[in-house]
Order: sequence, then C-alpha cells, then structure tokens
Amino acid sequence: MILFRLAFRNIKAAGLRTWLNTFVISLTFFAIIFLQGMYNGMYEQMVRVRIDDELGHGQYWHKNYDPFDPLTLEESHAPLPSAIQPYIQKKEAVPVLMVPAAIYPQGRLQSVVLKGIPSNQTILKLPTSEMQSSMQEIIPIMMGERMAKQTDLAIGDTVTARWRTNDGAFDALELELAHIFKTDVPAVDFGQIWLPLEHLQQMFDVSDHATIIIMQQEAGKQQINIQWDFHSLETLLADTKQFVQSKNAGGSIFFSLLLFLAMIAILDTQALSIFKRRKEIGTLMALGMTPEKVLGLFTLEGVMQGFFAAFVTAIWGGPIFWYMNKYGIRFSVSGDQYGLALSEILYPAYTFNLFAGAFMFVMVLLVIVSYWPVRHISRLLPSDALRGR
Amino acid sequence: MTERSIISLDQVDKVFPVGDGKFYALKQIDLNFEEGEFAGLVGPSGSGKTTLLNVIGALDKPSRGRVSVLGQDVSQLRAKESAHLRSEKLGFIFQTHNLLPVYTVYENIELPLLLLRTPASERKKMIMETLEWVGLTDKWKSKPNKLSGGQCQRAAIARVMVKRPQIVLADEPTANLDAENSHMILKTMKKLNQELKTTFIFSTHDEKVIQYLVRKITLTDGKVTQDEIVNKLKESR
Ligand SMILES: Nc1ncnc2c1ncn2[C@@H]1O[C@H](COP(=O)(O)OP(=O)(O)OP(=O)(O)O)[C@@H](O)[C@H]1O
Ligand SMILES: [Mg+2]
Repeated sequence: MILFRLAFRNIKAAGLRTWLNTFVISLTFFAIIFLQGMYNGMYEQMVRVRIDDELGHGQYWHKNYDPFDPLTLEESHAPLPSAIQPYIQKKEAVPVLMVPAAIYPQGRLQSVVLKGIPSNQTILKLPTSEMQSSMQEIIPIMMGERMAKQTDLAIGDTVTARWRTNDGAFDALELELAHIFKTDVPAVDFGQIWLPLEHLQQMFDVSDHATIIIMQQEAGKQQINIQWDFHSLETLLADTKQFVQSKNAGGSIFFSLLLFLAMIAILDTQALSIFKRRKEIGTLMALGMTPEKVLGLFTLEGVMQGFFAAFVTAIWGGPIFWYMNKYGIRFSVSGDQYGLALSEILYPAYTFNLFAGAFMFVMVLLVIVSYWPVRHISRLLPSDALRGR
Repeated sequence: MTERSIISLDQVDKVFPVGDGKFYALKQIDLNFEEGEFAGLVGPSGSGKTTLLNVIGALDKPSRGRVSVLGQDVSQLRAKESAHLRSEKLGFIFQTHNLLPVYTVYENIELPLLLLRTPASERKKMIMETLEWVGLTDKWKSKPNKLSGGQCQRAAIARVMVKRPQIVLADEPTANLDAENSHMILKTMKKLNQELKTTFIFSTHDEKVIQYLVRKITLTDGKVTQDEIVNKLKESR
C-alpha cells in the first residue's frame, strides 16, 4: 500500500511529464477502442444485412453453381431433392432459381440474372411479397434501388427480357416492375431481377428446379442428406471477414504508431528516472526499503500512468463513444462503389470485451516498458546508488 | 571484541577494482563499538571513512573479514535481510540531507515508520515528538526546497530518530552547514545520544565536530592509525 502512495506522490510531482505520458497513453486507448469498435460495428452490420438480404444461415448450392461465373448458371440447376421439401414446407428453407438473361430498358441491352424466389418466403428480409402484378398476364418483378437507377426504370414500367430456356431455345417476355427495394447489400441489387419462383420455372421450362437453397438455420447441414454442396454461413461470410480484417490491419498501423509513441514516452521517463533518481533509490534503500520494493515502486510509477490514462480516457472518450454508439458515424462515401454491404451510417460496436481487451493489452505492454529500464534496481548496491552510480 | 560491543569489525578489507588492478579502500580494520558510543572517524579525503560507514551500515559488503552488527554478520546478509536490519535498527545521515523532494517534512519523517508498518495512530505522535526535538514543529508541512540547509539536515536527523534506531551512522553531517547550524545539529545529536543511549558514529574532517567526540578514530589510507578517547569531552559526558 505504501508503494501505491509513494508512486502516486511521485508521478503527481512529476507534473507535466506525467500529463504528457497520460495524454499519449489516453490517445492510444481511444484510438484502439475507436478503431476496433468501428471495425467490429462494420463487421456486425455487414454480417447482419448479408444474413437478412442475401445469405440466410447457410446455403446448399447446386454443384455447378459458381457465383463468380454467370456463364455456368445455365448448367447450375436441378430439381429440388425430396429431402429438402419438408423444410421448404416448414419455411425453414427457400429455393432460388437463377437464370441468365438480357433485358432491354429504353432499348439498351443489359445482362442480368433473373432470380426466382417464392414470393411468400420469410427467410430473407427482401420484400418478395410485393411482387404482385397489376395485370394478370404480366409477370411482376422487383429490383434494388441501384438497379432501378441504372436501368432507369420506375414502378409500373415494363421491360423486355430475353433468355434461353432449358432446352436451348430463346424466349422473350414483358416484365412489370412491381417494387423497388432498398438494401445495403449490392450483391442482391446490381444486375439482379427478382421474380416469383413459379413464374421463372415456367419461363425457363423446368419444374421444381433451383440453383441454391437458402436455409433458415445452420443446423440444416447434419440433418439433410442431399447431394448439393453445403456452404456454412461462416464460409459465405469469409470475404466480409477478410475485408474487415484488412481494413483493421490498416487501422492497426495507426494505433500501433500511437502505442509505440506511448511506450517510448514511458520507456524514456523510466530510463531517465533511473539516472536522475539514483540518490533517491539509495536513500530509500538506506531507509530500509528492500531493493525489490524500490523496483516495484519505480515499475508501479510507470504502470500507474496507464491507470490514469484509462481513467482520463473514460472521462473524455466515454461521451464520444456513447454519442457514436447512439447516433452512429455517417460516411460520405458508401460502400456501394466497392460492392460492399456497408450502410451509410455505421454504428460502432463497443463491447465490454473491447474495453477490457484494449486495457489489458496496453497495460501488459506498459508493465513491460515500465519494468524493463529499471529492472537492475534490484541488483543495485545501496552504496553505489547513494554515490549516484 | 568485548561483551558489550554492538558493532565489531574483524580484519576487514574493502577492495575496489580499478582498471586492471585492485584498490584497498579499507585494510585490516579491527574495531569495536559499544552501546551508547559517540565516536568519530576522521582522516583526510579518500582515507576510507565513507566506505567504512557503508560497510558497518550494510550498504556495502566487506571484501574480506567479518563485520558483525547487533549480532548479525553483515557480509552474510541477503539484500532483503540487510534492508530489514537498516529499517529496524540503523539510521543514516548523509552529507546532503537526501530528503525526498516531493514529500513534506512530515511525510519524509513518516517514511521509515511506514516501512516499519507502524500503526497510523502511533505515527503522528512519534513524528510530532521528533519534530519537537529537532525544533521543526512549525515546518512540518513544508517541502524540503522551502527549508534552509540546516533545517533540512535537522529534518534528516528527525527522519532517522523517529524510529529510535540503535545505531546512527552519519557521514559528514555538517559538511554543508555553517558553524551555527553545525553546533545546533551536534547538540541535538549529543542530546539524543545521552537521552536514548543511541550509538553514534560520524565521519568528519570538521574541527567543530571533533570537539564533541568522545572517541576519535583516525583513518589513513584505509587503515586505523589512531583510536583514542578524547578525555576532556569524556568528562563532559
Ligand atoms: N565504488 C568505488 N570504486 C572504486 N573506488 C572507490 C569506490 N568507492 C570508494 N572508492 C575509493 O576508496 C577510497 C576511499 O573512499 P571513501 O569515500 O571511503 O573516502 P572518504 O574518507 O569518505 O573521503 P571523503 O572525506 O572525501 O568523503 C577513495 O580513494 C575512493 O576513490
Ligand atoms: Mg566520504
């Protein structure tokens, strides 16, 4: 306890030096928490919207299906396995059929993927029930805002689509845009036209075919024995994770720099102490303090500044974190241009683990840099210390 | 070594490595001190006074020979044990006061008591009493940089005396003081020596100090060349 009192006294007396150290450590705490919170928030948000609008909790893919190769789409469909039917009935699985096509908005040709999905599905949050046509004979479609903008189509407009049926013959039809939805996931928007599954199956001249099956629960994997390839949510999210991690690595460079500065500041203070405070060390030993305790005192002085900094960060950073958590951070550039499922307003995710983790991480480093320069105190002879050597 | 001796040195050498060779700062020292002595080490600069005090005070270890302080063999003590010996039984006064600059006089004097884990209730009384002895009662709140040299040295004496050590080792305690302060300090110490039977060992070249000594030990080049009882002052004792 006496060590705490003494250490507190000493760093208080060090004045400006202590404030500077505290300031740099505090900035480091803030940068780590801010950036980590932002990336965590970014990841959580991207995961959430992708689960909601695109992925569900895992998917079965036809073995030929390759999302990065639209040319193979024509071969990537098969009748739904009977084992999956009960799940579809229970609405725990939703089949999606994909057919490559061309549309001619305002006479210009554009390649698209027609995606057939049951309009009464509930697994994806896409508003599929909005696919209702005003005219009986015309097939209703929906598309995302970006696609609507790109094709210059408005609700109620019709557009000609042309595709090859399963047996290779070309066919064409007018489709009516029944709904435009807003999504943070460009993958379900750009180049995509959604329409009721049964219509697409008719148009494509197949019955009960699908390209992928989106599952409501991850548990599907063990239970359903079908020949399709299962892709867990984790693998489907791998690219998102990778993206955030690479961003995070970029951010780490920034706070590593601050961290480095903070550590240098403490190292310097400690190294200076051992020179300038030799006599004090000797005096404490002459008074009967054991060398270990003197070492402990000097180490504690360094470490205590970390505690100060944590406290100071809580005071000035706390309200900022709270504000950002509540109101989010608005980005002027959205993720759209990069095809990322990023929303315009990002809500950083500050968790207890993040605070505790940042604190532990910095404190462990602080203990090391506080201890290292002064570690020889315990081997110092009091007579040498008193003489100032 | 007599029965009553509380410090005894037996064939003590202290060797410092210098360059390739060795330097004998202390050579074959044989000395005994009894309880309540008021003894001084005198001798020219470099004669080994500080070295001898350091060895007696377990701040340094002898290179050869035996140093026994209050029944403990100092050369055998581990760092922690010698720290405890210093904390419980010994007090040091240095040429410079060595007060800790960030603490008040009161806190400086409190430090040894904190190290001894003296209960808070007793600490205050002990500190105030000691401050009265050294005449610094009105300065208890001041930081050392607000005190004169003599006041600082008295505070340093108070820091030693507050724990009532059995032995006080003082290395040129008056070297930085003027005559008036020197006498004041020495009188204070003499008083403590008589009232508490504290053993004092000084090093000094100061004639003023030498007047007060009861026993004068002369060191020359690391050897004891004279060890005499200064009679006149013995009477005054
Ligand atoms: N750590 C050391 N390493 C090498 N030589 C040392 C060391 N400490 C002391 N000496 C040498 O030992 C000799 C005695 O030193 P000491 O400090 O004991 O003298 P002193 O009698 O106290 O002198 P002064 O009156 O100047 O204080 C000196 O010659 C000094 O240079
Ligand atoms: Mg000396």
